[in-house]
Amino acid sequence: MACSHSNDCNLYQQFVTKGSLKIWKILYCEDDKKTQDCARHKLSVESKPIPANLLPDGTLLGNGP
Amino acid sequence: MFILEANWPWWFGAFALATTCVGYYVLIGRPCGTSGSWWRILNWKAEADAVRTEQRYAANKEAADRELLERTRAMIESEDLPEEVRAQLLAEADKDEAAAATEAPANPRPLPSAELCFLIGLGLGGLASAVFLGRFEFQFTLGETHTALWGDGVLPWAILFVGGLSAGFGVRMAGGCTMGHGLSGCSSLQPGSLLATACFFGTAVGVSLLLGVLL
Repeated sequence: MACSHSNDCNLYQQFVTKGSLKIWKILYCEDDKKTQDCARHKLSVESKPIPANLLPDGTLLGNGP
Repeated sequence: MFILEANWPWWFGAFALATTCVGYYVLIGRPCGTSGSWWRILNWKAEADAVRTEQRYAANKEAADRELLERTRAMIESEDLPEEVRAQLLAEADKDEAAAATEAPANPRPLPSAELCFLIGLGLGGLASAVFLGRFEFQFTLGETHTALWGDGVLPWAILFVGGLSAGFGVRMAGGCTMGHGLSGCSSLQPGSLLATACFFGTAVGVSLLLGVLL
């Protein structure tokens, strides 16, 4: 079963449709066990704000080293 | 003038609620909801941090997309995947690198100051209504039904406090209150909102009928 928060996740829509980004969906979105590792899912469960550029592995795109 | 009457005509009430919901979405960029607005204000620092990181991301969009492609390719190469899946993903990465770029959010994330104005406006609107209708007064009773159930003294206030805590706990569990689910969610036919609203109003009707029997 896919992540229960996928409908509200702006990155999930891109993981589904865009080329090699599908790897993120395979590794983080496709079943309940994998979603527990997703940084976006964790914030979503806590109803915390989720930056649009936060990747499932917890890194922030475009924010430098 | 009917706008200064205690109960508005049904059509004007509906028009006012619809205007509030649509206006809130247009101005703030998210569904209208009271408990959600409170939650954003309580998480002000986290919201402000998210705004800052999204602004940095928007300013470095091209570098960020290159970074994502590099990270994605490295992940495809290092993860334990079936070989045919790995080959397919690498082919897609080679074929169209531009397609792997992320999209900036359509609406920039607003700070919760908009929600703060909304909540202050709710209070001021209620105050203005009471003053214009000549019904403004301080009250220290909680109504006949509440007094009949819980008597006088500290107990009815303690019950009210526990009720407030329960309501706050419930709306966070349900992801919204009567406004968020009942107005915004139901009007956009969200299944969860339809179910939540049925629970809210079903419980209210049930409790009213029960009190009618008990009192």
